[in-house]
Amino acid sequence: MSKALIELVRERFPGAVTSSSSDRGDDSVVVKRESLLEILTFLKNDEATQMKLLADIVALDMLTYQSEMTGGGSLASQEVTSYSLSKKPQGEPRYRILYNLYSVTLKHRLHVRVEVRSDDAKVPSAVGIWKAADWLERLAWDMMGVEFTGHPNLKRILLYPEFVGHPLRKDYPVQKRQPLVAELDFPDLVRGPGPGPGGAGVPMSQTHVGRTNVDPTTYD
Amino acid sequence: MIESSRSAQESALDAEHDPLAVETELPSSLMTINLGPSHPAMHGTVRLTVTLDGETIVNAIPEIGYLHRGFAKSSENSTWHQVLPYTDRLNYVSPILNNVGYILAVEKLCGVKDPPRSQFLRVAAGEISRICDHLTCVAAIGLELGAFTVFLYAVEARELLWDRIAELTGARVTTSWTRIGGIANDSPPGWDDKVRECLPRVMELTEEVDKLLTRNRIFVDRTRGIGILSQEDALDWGFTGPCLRATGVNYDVRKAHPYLVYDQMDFEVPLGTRGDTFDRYLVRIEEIRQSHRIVLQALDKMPPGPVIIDDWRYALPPKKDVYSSIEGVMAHFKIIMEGIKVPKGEAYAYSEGANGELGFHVVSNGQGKPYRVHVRAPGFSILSALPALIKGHMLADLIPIFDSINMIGGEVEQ
Amino acid sequence: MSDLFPVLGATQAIVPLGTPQTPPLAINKPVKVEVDGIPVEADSRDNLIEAARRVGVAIPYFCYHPRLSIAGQCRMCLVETSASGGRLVPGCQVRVAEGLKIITTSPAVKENQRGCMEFHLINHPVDCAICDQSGECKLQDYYMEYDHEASRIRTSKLNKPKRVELGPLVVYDGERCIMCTRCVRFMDEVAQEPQLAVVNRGDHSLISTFPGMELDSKYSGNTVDICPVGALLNRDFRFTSRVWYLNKSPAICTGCSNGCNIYVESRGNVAYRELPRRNEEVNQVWMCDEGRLTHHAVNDARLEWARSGRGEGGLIEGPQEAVKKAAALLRPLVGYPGLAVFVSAQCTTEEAAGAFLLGKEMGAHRAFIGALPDGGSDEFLIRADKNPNRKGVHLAAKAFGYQLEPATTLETDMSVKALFAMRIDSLPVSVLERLEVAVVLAQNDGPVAQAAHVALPCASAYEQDGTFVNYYGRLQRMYRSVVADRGDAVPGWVWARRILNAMGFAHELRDAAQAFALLADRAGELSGITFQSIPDEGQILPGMLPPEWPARAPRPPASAPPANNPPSPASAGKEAAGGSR
Repeated sequence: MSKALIELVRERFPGAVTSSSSDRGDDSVVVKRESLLEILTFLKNDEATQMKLLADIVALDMLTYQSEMTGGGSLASQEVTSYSLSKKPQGEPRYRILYNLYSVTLKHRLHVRVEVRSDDAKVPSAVGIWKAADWLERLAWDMMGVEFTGHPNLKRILLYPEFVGHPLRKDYPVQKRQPLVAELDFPDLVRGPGPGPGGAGVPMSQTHVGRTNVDPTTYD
Repeated sequence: MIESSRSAQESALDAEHDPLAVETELPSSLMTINLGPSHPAMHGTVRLTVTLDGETIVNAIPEIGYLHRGFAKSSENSTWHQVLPYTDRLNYVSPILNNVGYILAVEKLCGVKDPPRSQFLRVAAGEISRICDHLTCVAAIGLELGAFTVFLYAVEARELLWDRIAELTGARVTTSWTRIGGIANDSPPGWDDKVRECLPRVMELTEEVDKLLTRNRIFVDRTRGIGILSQEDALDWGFTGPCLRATGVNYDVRKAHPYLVYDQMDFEVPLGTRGDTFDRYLVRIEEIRQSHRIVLQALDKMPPGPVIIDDWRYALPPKKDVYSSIEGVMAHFKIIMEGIKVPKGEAYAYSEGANGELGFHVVSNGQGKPYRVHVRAPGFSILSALPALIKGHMLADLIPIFDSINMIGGEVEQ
Repeated sequence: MSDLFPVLGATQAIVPLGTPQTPPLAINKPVKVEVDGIPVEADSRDNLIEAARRVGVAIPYFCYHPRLSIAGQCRMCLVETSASGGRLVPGCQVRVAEGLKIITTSPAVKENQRGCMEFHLINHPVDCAICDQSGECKLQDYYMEYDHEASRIRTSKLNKPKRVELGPLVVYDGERCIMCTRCVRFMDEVAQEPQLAVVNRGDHSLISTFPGMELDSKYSGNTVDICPVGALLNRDFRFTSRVWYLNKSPAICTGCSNGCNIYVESRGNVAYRELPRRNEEVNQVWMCDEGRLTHHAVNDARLEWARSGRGEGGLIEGPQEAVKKAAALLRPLVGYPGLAVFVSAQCTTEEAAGAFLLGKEMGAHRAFIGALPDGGSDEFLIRADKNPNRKGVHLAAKAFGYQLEPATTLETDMSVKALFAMRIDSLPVSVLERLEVAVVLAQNDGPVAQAAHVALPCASAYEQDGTFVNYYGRLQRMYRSVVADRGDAVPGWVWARRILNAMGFAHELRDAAQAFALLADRAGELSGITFQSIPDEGQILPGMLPPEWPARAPRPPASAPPANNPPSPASAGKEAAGGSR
């Protein structure tokens, strides 16, 4: 049934579909960015597809997909050694944007993907096709930093405007803190038990927890 | 957007305003007020910047994120099972539905299926959660339209059910109850009977609520024809769940793409006709009745047997084996310390949450931690349509409309 | 890591992000085989395990080790081939042949793997909770991968000796042992000191030393690494940390001038252990026992806070004040003939460059080199020079135009009145006490640091980015492996920059790469090399090869005639570019 959907897109847009898969029952087509809006419009309006519902937009950062770990250095610690920082794994095209389309009348679903490189992380906005794309694209921009060109109001949605960076990118440190009001480095604050920099019982002022943005080569 | 509308309005007023005339309308200008983030009438901590012309809403800009907890980032740095407690906190009124939704996605990646008893229990507990969620929403609408009795009745019913959930999972809302390939523990002895005993009282209270509100003149006047969205618009905004069905679109994941054992359940999907606040309320009341039917059927049909698969790659071995055999202790160690090795790939699994299609898009690169967990929170898309819903209505209508879409900060703001 | 060749699949989860990937072995005579339907170009000397590894198909094994002889003890690697006629053959022992088809997924193979695991675990104690190997244990990995079921065998477990101290570094647990004999073969073949043997028979077998002897080889720690289970454990590391809490980071051993490639495992600001890292041209996959103890100097008796004032009157006022005091002491001495610079051969090349830069700016004419005293050596991995970077310090001194004098000169030569010391190894207390000005960078606290007018805490080599040049003239990168700060400790070149800036000399040394560039501009040997361009396996500096080469030392294959015949710069460059592999 849905295989037919992939075939339909392939037929209608020869050359625009770079690959397709039906892994675990999720049908998806990878399309070229140039023809994305055209394909989305077709999928929404065509009688054979009728995908009136844009269920979701998922942004994916493939930077560390090939490497062994997803988080910090070791299994339990989130410290990153300087070797890992200096040898960043390269995964290009780095970002994948996935449009999750559904038809409530024909009851079929298709995932349309685009892949973009990190030096050109831009995707045309689908706000003109679905109103739902408005916030979904803002969320993807906020979290992953993929720019949706043509979006009328591409602002952060969950995070505050002063926030620097995009937290769901794989190179955004897990422990990084960006408080709006500067945090005081209480000298009497003592870490609780458990693993972590400095170990238990070491005053917070002597660890680098919470102060990762401080340049270690400067005095303070 | 506010700026442009304000200047347009003002210039229109200026043109009408004749200083020499006696019988002109009073000059007025637009007013911008802040509702929230912490306001007694707002659900959760959401801020609405509302532009008013008198008492009519010209525009509203929702600002969300006050409850953002970094669900996705936290999940990427936890093992697959450690994500479960985070899912409790997505829609915290019906946590079991979130637990089930997430686990369905991971099970889809792993290619495992839980045993029948677990499936029936998941359905029963999930539908009890759905009743709780709808009761909460209905209670809040009533409360904020002045019907405090409704709130007390609904919350009494909800408490009864949450007690059953607590007996089943050990916690009222922070359930973390499902596991890959099953559930954490079987229902305690006599639990079925307790549910059967308390359900009549729950339904009695629900009927009371129904009687108090559905034909109540004040309630109907305040909700009929308020906050209408057409079918096309609702789909365009990405509505799912009761809010979509209130417009008459027949889309319920349980019927359209049955998961677990919903294909063995006999239930109806209630549909609205107008898509206004009243219909959204009515759909929820009717869904409570349908969920009640499903719970009873699930309890009746529930087979005996194990509640989790016997595969030590995914499920923890029994404690007896952990303490006394090397095989058990190694499997336990690996699952706890390194996490379950989920095969490489991506999967999108969706289920019917209390507010609509609850989808989890999970990506694994073959390790013990998820590579990416993305939640399709039904409330997110619905909330984005709030300005369209309330534009042109009175300020006083904002609250019932906002109630009826049942925005849950936990899932919207992740 | 019990095995230095990463086993795809089974042990992947405990390999941290960014661990250098082991390149496949070079192919001399290509042979085409098929592994589970995937065509592979293998080397004619490959066994089935290695051929499968080339395409990422993992054949499990306990007793096989690529650098040891084949024992065929564990039976875990049995696979089917097109030539075996339906029987299972050991993947470690059978070599590839042209057109051979290897099948690793057939029911017979799977059933054997499961059966093997079940047998291996019959007498295994329920020890994971108290076993140091937990988390890097092949039994655990393979159990989850190939068995993951309850045992069908109902028998009481055999009791064996549990805490046999085989030697100063190794403790043996007989119950956990699976008799793979890797340790026995290692001592025979690699360490060439056959100190271990299997005694008794059947399931009563034990690994043991000969009566009255102990496992005191300088390489005994490697038996712990290659032990696939928790039978042999490192007494130094035992019970100090669970392995999954440790960050693994590549580094160079500071124990001697061989420059063995290692991993440093640390948590917070504590280093817990050193493990060998594969570098075929330096240390293959081994390291000596002495190198395994180098983290003690990183953890113990550290000078943590910058201090000014001698002896009991020392004041801790923070790094800024200390630098101000050091600058105030040194500023009047610019151009003073009694001023000298002291650099230890324990410094990274960057630290040495920082010290010499400071010396040049202050007009110091003399420079001294200190070093840890020579120790024992052998024909394999242990060099007599116990300083990791003597060649690098000499290289830096030459670049800055200094002739290094030995530290002993200071004891007799009274003309030196003021000293800036970059680390204090072999600097006598008596010298410091008579000096009029002593600004000292020290890693460890002690009488020498206390005798200084200003003592500044220096980060250990495992705590900073930098480079070492080993005995064989190989330039290798250090990384900041121990992540968390310890007190005020920073790399020596940072202190040099701070003092220079406080004295009014404008030098921008933001990071180690800049400090390296400062040196590379001046040193001909380093021309064209940047900090980032140094490959993971290191780079041989032209003209710095040693005069003689120990008999068994690993070496680059291209420079087969080792002694007295340094290769021309051109060919050395080719090796450095990775052509040697």
